[in-house]
Amino acid sequence: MKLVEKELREVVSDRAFLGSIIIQFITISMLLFLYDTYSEVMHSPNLKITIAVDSNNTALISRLEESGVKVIPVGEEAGANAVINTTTGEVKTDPSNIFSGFAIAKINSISKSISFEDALEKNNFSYSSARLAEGHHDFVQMGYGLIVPIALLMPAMVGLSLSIQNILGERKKRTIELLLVSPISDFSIAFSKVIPYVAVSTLCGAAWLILIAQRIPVYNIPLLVLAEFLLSLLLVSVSILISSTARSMQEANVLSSLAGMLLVFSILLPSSDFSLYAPTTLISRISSNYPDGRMIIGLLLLAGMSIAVFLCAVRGVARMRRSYS
Amino acid sequence: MGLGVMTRWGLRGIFSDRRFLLSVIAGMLISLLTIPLLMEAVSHFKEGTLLSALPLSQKMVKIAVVGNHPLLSELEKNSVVEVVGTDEATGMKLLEEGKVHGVFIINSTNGSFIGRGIPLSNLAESAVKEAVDSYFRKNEKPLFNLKQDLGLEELLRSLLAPFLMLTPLFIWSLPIIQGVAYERENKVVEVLLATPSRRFEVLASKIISNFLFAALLGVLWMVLVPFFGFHFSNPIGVYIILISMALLVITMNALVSSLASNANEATLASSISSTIIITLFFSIAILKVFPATEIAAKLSPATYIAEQVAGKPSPFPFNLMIVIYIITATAFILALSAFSTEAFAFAIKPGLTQLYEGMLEILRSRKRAAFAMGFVAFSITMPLEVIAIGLIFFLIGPVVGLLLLSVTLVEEGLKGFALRILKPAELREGALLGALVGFAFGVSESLLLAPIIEFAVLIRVAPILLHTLCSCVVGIGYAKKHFLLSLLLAVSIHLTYNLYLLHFWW
Repeated sequence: MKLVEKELREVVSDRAFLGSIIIQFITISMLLFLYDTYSEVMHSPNLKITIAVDSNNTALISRLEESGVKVIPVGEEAGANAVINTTTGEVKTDPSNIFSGFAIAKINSISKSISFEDALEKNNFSYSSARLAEGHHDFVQMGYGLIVPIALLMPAMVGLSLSIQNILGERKKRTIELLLVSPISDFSIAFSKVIPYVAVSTLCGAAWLILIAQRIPVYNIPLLVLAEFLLSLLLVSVSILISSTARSMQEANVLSSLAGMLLVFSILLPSSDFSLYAPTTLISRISSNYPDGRMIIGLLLLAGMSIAVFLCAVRGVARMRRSYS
Repeated sequence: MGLGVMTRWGLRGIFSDRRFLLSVIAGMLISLLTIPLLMEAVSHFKEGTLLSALPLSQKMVKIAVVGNHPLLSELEKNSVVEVVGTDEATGMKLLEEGKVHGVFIINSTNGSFIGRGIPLSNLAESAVKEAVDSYFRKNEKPLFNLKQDLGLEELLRSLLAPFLMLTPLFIWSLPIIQGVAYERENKVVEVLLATPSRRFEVLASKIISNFLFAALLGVLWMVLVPFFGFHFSNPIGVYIILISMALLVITMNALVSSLASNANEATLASSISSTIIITLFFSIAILKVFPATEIAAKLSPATYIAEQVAGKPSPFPFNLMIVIYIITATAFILALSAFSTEAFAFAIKPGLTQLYEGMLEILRSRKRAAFAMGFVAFSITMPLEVIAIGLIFFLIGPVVGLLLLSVTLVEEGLKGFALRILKPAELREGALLGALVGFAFGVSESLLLAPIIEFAVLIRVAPILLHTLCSCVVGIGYAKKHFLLSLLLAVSIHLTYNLYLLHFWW
């Protein structure tokens, strides 16, 4: 316990850690600012989508104008987000302009000969909706799918990075040797090196969740804090493994970058039944849904993986001890 | 020892660490494998946001469905939605308990969605409406001869390509941290500084060796990338942009490593600074959405790489190269200033004053230091101006007067800050140092704008003189202990000129 206390004191007084908290705070605040303003900006009259049409297709032009698009004739298309060639059916857009996507979506939605309302009337079907949140909420998916996972990933990644630097520093200063030759068990050494970083990462994650909850109605905060604890345990244990096996500083640094890249890689794996249990999807689902069986299985899998990697970290400490002896 | 010998040493040091090299190659392979995976996700993307195509959004909202209708199969296809079939009473009970985000009651003639008044209910409702829409309109004739593929996938591919292309920069630029921060902590730098080599040579050799390492890996990267799905109209142009960005990140890492008090701080600060540089350069690309700021978007590598992936034969962005190299040169001057301080040699964190002293030591004259400060001020101005313009545009709107005022305040404020560090004591000295800061600032601004405005030479004389005059006023004000007043005067002169220019152009 004394070791944990000492390590914890060192982490909290580390300027790099304090700096990282400020950066995390700025990142989350900026994302929340975007969350608040994004939809309004997207619907702002300042950002009118302009589409150039080559013929006098009045039905097409009036449909485009009804959906809030500014229509201009071809030939005067400077500043247009898309140009429609009605003869060939081609839609030309600027590939480096993100607004081209909105223009394409608009064209796609108005492209049918009848509107949504007319189609319902033609098919004798009525559609209504009630009790929706007021205002525009285009960013809601980003809130749960991006901001919440980022807010929990960042502290865990900082925990990984700081803990690697801590052990490498101790290896360099040779103070780790004192620990390794003492009668303290491998488990206690690994525990004392892991727990302080896991604790501060979890606390940070919890603080960011409270901050986010002021803007986004986040579900299951206690379960998310548990997920943060397990994720930090996993990543900090990985850092112990890396720093106990790496032969040079830059090797350890590149391996820690690899761990981060693998995490991003896991986000991009194709959707499958398994991806519901991937840590990032799990976090996104916990934050947006009432708890269900799949979430509990996901958390149990994460816990199993974290404990397994922690046990590997204990073996990593044992290996380091053998190499020193 | 010469620069060449030390560069060879540096390269040998990097290439002798085989485990490091293997890890770098593994990192590049992971980045390469990410490309087809992301593109696979993009191919599933139709409308809404890209997030819909990623597992992150899988089953994000739960909808209780009451009744039966063939259109429900459209709803079940949506990966964002989890459908729970139930009766009306149970559905409403689940809704009240917060276990679902909405209830969709449907029969052959009617469909109604009831939410919970939360944003997630809106997401659920848009999925339901999308299903209704695609069911009832899927067989309708198109309004015109519209092609099935509107190029949305290509658009996303080109928008995502820049992010994927620049991912390896983070690992390519790691050796410089080892070369500066770790060697300093291990006292290796002391031995190097004790040799007759100049400090410039020591730092430059470390940066060059890391740059050559990055340039070599850049060739490998550019050869491999086409096999994983990215093809460029001008691969050499993309390679030049890529390695120029690498040089910028390496030099910034050298600066951060020279300023940090220990290696741990350097490692963390380097990863933060690299992220900020890349994000900032990328965020400039978004300025393309406003016609008034479209020209500025050309200063983002993201714009060029996106156009290249889309097969657009866009001209090589020389002005972007100028920006990258001005910032790189500034970072190098600052890193060398920090590297030259006594504090650095004794492994203490150099402060702002010591940094200036270091700069004086390498430039050997206050006049040259003032000229260098002009470049430094300009490099810091650009990101600050982008942030200021963005904030005003989004928060207040396109108020031209306010936009001009914010730009003027940032420019004059930073030049004034440079003069506060230079601390001119007398009137003549204040005027001279101020004029030099302003002149350097004006010249770098003109270099940036030169490729955009062809008759730049004639047109840019006036702005260079204006910057020189305004900073001269601030310099005199500082020497005469009227700093704030003179700054206000400089801002007024600058703003008047900008407003006149605006009036003239309109």
